[in-house]
Amino acid sequence: MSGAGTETITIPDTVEELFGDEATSAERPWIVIVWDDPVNLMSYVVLVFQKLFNYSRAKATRLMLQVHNEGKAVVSSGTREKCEGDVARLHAHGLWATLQRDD
Amino acid sequence: MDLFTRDDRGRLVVTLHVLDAQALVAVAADVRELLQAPPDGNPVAARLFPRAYTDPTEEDAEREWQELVHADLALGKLAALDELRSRFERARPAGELVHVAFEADQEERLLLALNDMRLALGAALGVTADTDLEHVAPSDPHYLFVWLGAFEQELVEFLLEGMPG
Repeated sequence: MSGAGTETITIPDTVEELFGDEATSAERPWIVIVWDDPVNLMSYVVLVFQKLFNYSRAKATRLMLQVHNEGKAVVSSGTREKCEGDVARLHAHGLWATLQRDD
Repeated sequence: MDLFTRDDRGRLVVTLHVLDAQALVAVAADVRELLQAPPDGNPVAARLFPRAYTDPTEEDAEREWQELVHADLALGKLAALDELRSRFERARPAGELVHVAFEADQEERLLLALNDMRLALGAALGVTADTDLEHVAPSDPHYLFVWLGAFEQELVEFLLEGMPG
């Protein structure tokens, strides 16, 4: 909470000074990619996308079809930590997922 | 006969022929063995426990992630397989059928175990997009894989009907 005080506050000159490396990673977030595999059922992949990411049936289906037709799709993004967590949940559900920097 | 229904408490009820329930239990036991085989050159382990990073410069992050995640991931998969086995093993047959009811958390683990069983069998059999899975004879090692696929497909469709659009 902020309140009236007498401390002198130094205002950083640059965003980098304020946030350090965090600003760089915020500009270039991490992404989670799901890759096509020959075994997972298309309907199962839709169910997992809905369940894990709260996507609508339409969005989950569109992503599943992108995985199926193009070989992969970006299904989520954010900080490295968030994406590592998403990959762990996707592996627990048997989907073939990886994370990388969004270039 | 409906394979999947809901009872008045909202629990998923799976109805199987006794022989199919026995087949399911046997596959779950086989897959448990496959999962615990040494990871080197083991296609089942490679498929069920893939890398998180593809970038070779992220080896350190990959190692840290595996140290953080792998043990729980493996334990979760084994526990789901064991639960499926014990639920169908202990079910008392009603004539030629067995009925097994699953609470919500058990229902989730049933689906994950079934899916892992198909992934494991598919990896062990070397199933690819080009594998011909039409007209597979019961004596063919792919038969169980196809049967499991039909079973899971029906379960997923049933569950999707109960989810929001």
